[in-house]
Amino acid sequence: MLPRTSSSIDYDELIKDDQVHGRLYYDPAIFEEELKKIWYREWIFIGHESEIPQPGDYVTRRIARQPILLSRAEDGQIYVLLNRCPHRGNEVCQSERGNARMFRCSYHWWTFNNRGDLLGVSFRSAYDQDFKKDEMGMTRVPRVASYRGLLFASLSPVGISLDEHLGNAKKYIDHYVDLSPTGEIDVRAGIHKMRVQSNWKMYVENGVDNYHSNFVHHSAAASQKKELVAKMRAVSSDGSLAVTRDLGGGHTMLDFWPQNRVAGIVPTATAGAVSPEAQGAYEEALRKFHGKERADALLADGPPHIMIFPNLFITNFGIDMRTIQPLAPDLFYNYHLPALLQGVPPEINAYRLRRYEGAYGPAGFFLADDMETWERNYRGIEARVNEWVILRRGLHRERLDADGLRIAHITDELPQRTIWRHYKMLMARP
Amino acid sequence: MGIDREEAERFLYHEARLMDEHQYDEWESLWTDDAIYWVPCNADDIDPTRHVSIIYDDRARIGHRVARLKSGEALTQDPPSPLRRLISNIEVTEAENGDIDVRSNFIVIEVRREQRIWAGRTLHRLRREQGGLRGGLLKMAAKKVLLVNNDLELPPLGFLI
Repeated sequence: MLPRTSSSIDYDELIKDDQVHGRLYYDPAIFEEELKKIWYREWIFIGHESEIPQPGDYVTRRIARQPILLSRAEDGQIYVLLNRCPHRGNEVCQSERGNARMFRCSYHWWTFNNRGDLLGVSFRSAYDQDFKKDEMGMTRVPRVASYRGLLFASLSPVGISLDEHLGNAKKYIDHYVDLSPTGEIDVRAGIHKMRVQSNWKMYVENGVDNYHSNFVHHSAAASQKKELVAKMRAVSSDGSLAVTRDLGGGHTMLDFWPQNRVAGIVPTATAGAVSPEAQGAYEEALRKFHGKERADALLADGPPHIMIFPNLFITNFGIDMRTIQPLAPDLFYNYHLPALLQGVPPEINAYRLRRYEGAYGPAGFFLADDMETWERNYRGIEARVNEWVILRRGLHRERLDADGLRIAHITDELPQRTIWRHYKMLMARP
Repeated sequence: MGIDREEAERFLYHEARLMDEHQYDEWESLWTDDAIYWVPCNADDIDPTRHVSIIYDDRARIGHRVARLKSGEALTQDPPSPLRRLISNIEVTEAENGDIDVRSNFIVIEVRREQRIWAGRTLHRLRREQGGLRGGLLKMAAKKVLLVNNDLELPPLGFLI
């Protein structure tokens, strides 16, 4: 077994304003403490309500290593259960998605309803009167909440509300969901699943790192259109209007929009790529639902680029919600859940899927190179000399925006510093 | 102008060697102009207009994929993975308009820091291009690759499958 020496770790020594220590990525004791203090305590993104629309629908997921079951019961409510039989601990539901009237543990055939209540025990007479059937259901995750259909769970019975947790990030989630002209997205378009031999924090840091885009993604851009390379360079240039932003609560953002508006770039635009009829129908539906001003702003900007700590990532270049689950210091799973827009011609969703696939998924031009980079990053970190990771970039030019949020240049390491500051606060708690 | 089993087999082995040996231009020349290169995600039979795929390349994107690999700057193929694949269980059936469908199983060994195994079944739709003495070259009008692990968490799939 791995040593459990968590209480002895001094995070002040490992996390400085401008650098962090490599041990934070590879130390198994730190990983175990992260599970306890972040993954099994904080609000964790687990999926979307539209994945299980009908009573009886379910999907199985994970919160870090813990197996969970998202189930919609006859009352229409979603229940999030630990996928564990209370009898001997067997994992109950084996199918990743489906519809069922009840769940039966394969080990001794105990049965449970969609809310996890114990229905039946095989050969019941062997249990005495002290056997409390009402108390022997599958354990419910203590706190479950949703925002705009996005489901979050916390394995801690106490803590701040989801509303408070999301804070300034809520309006950007709105921006993502509102691209659908019914105000609701349909997250039943499959899941891209990736296995990455790296530390989960390298993923969180990388998602809001625009510095690397010009280099890691050079071949992805250059193989499509030469002007894409120049556009990427312009976004990162000294004069770029794009900024990094600390949204509070450990959440961070790359705000490409000011620069994109000037340059006339909308990375996920369907205009010009689909038939004029389909585009017209989409825009009309969007204006009808949101009003012209809001609809035009949505069309001009596309999705936000936000990292909700610790495991929800929405990107300006995608159509999906991204999440990770850590399995070990050097292993995490990465899932992309593409969203279909509702109330649009089928051509719009088909084009959005095709465009998204070109860039993302295990064979996507951009993501495959990111995956390779996360793994190289972890292997380098295993060198046990000069173990500091330098996060100084743009430290001298942080400033406040009109809302009082810290911003800096789009290539600055403000998001990484923000993430670590929040991490240190979480890990210093008892 | 029929396509017999022996010619179809030769084509599959030829294509396999081009992919294994990173002969990108030659591989690209095997496609018809209206080709689709498809690797479904999560299940074998999905509706690609409503469900995400691992790869769903039209002819233009096949060109982009090849250009990226040829650039030598695609990190997942820097250096290119040593590859060898076996093709077996070949079944040939007639399709529309003189095309033929060739189904085959494959195992690919990929070396990228460690030895990995990829496996699945491929459907090739082969077409004889018009022109030439024997009626022209055999080309791929469509290729659908059913990975046995298309619903598992995957490492980068950076090479041609």
